[in-house]
Amino acid sequence: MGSKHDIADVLVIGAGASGGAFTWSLTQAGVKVVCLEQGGWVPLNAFPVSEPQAQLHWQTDFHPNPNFRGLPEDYPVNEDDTPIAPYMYNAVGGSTIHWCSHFPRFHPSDFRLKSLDGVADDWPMDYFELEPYYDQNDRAHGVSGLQGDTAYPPKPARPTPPLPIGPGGEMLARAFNKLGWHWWSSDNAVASAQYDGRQADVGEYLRSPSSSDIIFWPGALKQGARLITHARVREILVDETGRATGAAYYDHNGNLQAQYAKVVVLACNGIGTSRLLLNSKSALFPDGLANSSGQVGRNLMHHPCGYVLGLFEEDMGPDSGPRGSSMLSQEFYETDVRRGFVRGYDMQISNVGGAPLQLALGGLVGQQVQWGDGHHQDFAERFQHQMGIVIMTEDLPEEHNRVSLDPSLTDGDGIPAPKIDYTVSDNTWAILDHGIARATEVLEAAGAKRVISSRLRRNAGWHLLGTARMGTDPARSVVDRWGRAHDVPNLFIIDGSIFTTGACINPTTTIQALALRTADYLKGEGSSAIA
Amino acid sequence: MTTTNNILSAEQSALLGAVLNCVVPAQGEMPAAGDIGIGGFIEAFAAERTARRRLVLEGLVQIELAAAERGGDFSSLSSDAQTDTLRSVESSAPEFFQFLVTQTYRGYYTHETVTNALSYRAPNRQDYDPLPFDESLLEPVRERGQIWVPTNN
Repeated sequence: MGSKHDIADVLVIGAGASGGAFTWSLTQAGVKVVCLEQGGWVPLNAFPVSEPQAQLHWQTDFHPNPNFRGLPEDYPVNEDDTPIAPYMYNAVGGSTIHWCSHFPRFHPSDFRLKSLDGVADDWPMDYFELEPYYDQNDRAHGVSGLQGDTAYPPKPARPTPPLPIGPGGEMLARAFNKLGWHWWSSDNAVASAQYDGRQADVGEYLRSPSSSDIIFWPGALKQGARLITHARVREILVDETGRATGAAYYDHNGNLQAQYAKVVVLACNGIGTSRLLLNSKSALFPDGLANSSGQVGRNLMHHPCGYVLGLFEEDMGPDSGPRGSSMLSQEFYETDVRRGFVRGYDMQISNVGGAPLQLALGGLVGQQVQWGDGHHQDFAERFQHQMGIVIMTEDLPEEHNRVSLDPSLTDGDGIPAPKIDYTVSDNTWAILDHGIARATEVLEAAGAKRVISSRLRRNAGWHLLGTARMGTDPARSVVDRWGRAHDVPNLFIIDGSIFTTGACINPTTTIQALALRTADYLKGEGSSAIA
Repeated sequence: MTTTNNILSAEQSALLGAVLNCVVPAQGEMPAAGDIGIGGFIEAFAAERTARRRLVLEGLVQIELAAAERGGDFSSLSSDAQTDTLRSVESSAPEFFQFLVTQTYRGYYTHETVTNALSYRAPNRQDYDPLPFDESLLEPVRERGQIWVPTNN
């Protein structure tokens, strides 16, 4: 066990999107930060796409689902009772290692669902309070994009130019214009030009070049952060007054250790954080730490996704450039009750030609190329002739959608593993159906000769939100507006768990902006916690 | 392809090869899956886990039985009868058949012969040409103006 004399100012658990940004910011002010991360480092060039069998890594040791990947640093997740599989990665950089680097911000309305739409809750903060942290995060990444998107309040000039949208993107742009619908170049965390000593991303590696191990951790370590890898936390330790004192963890040899700190910060994502809180039971906290409200693990939100694929006569060009979306439409983002649902969806357009294996297996649409005599014709119709649209929907918080502890499943250190219980709501199904119909319409307007769609993708559990929700009422929420646990004054949560609502867009920059904001709080107004 | 573990007899390997030639047949410059050794890829993958090994061995028996119902061993059947045989196994043993097709595609579409035949080049720095973005396409969007909803902040 570690020494009680080795007391960090701040102990961060998890070195992913939020843990990296938070530690980078805090250590700028000389705060002594120790971070425990259950995974290790993944070199940028670990999975070069130039190797013929590179795409096989997606199916095995680089699979986004830990249950398929099964690396020693992974923990299993019982996904028997959910239609959306959990996707996450355990490493320095966390799930941003896998990330497509989409960087859209929330809208102002996303913080005001109760006031505007009469559903869920308002956040105890607003867009404009977060805006300077969005800007800070954009600068840190060298975000590519185009200023002037009419779906947002004005943003500063994007640090690097927009990603190319390709010939297919231009066809779709004209189709959106024909229909009178909004579209814009996506904000993407990959720098499209050399930025801050990093080369422009051209899609050479399977893993992201804009993950937090690349953007934030080198600076954080240079500023004095101490990062302990292959350290799997068993529980948060508390004293007799109910304050957090540190964490007990298994080191890379499986030996039990402890790290003590004045402040403990959880950054383990919407599954890992609630799992750790629920595993941190004591006489003072018999239902798990910070769980007097009973809300820990509840209100799990994803972004349920449909996918629509258009097949064109035209050649869409080779598989080239960064993965992910380079343009989007937010025409159906805000509530219009005439559509039969509240809130809405984001259409994300991907112009990647697609690696042959991913295409044959069906990609995001999940419909494999047929086998037998028609195989090559089916393949040829799709290869370099397709454009896809992801329908990313808003998922309202519901208590029955939850993370709990599985009664028998454990990880390699014997720590109880999480179980997910989740159902898709009627509101979300209505959004998905509307989105698929509209995406089909725009693809046909662009000239698609055939359209294939998938109503709900199982392989889309990238976004794990809401399981330790932020709010002003300690009876109905887990943390306050700064991410501080209502029940434990020196325990903070900075990952997607604290989202009050989830919007209908990728959450990473919002997660990191919240983490940067909490770091500023601890450096300023809340600095007495680490004095 | 390197087979690190042999779990199939010569006869079973030949059967698997013939089956794979039916799953992905030759056409034009595209080779048949069995002819470029995807059977070895599948055998090696199956050998890693007991459950996979059992799935493949039992699946091949299912194919033999279905072929026998159609008049002989699989290789001797007509092309149509082979396809009909595999359709029946796809229906009666869906887990095995899905495994077979998925693994065939995994081996086939990461095989250099195939990627070369497709003239596929993975994303790389030399080929990347970020075409300038034609911002005039956004004029209609700009003309329409703000669509975000204010919240009185």
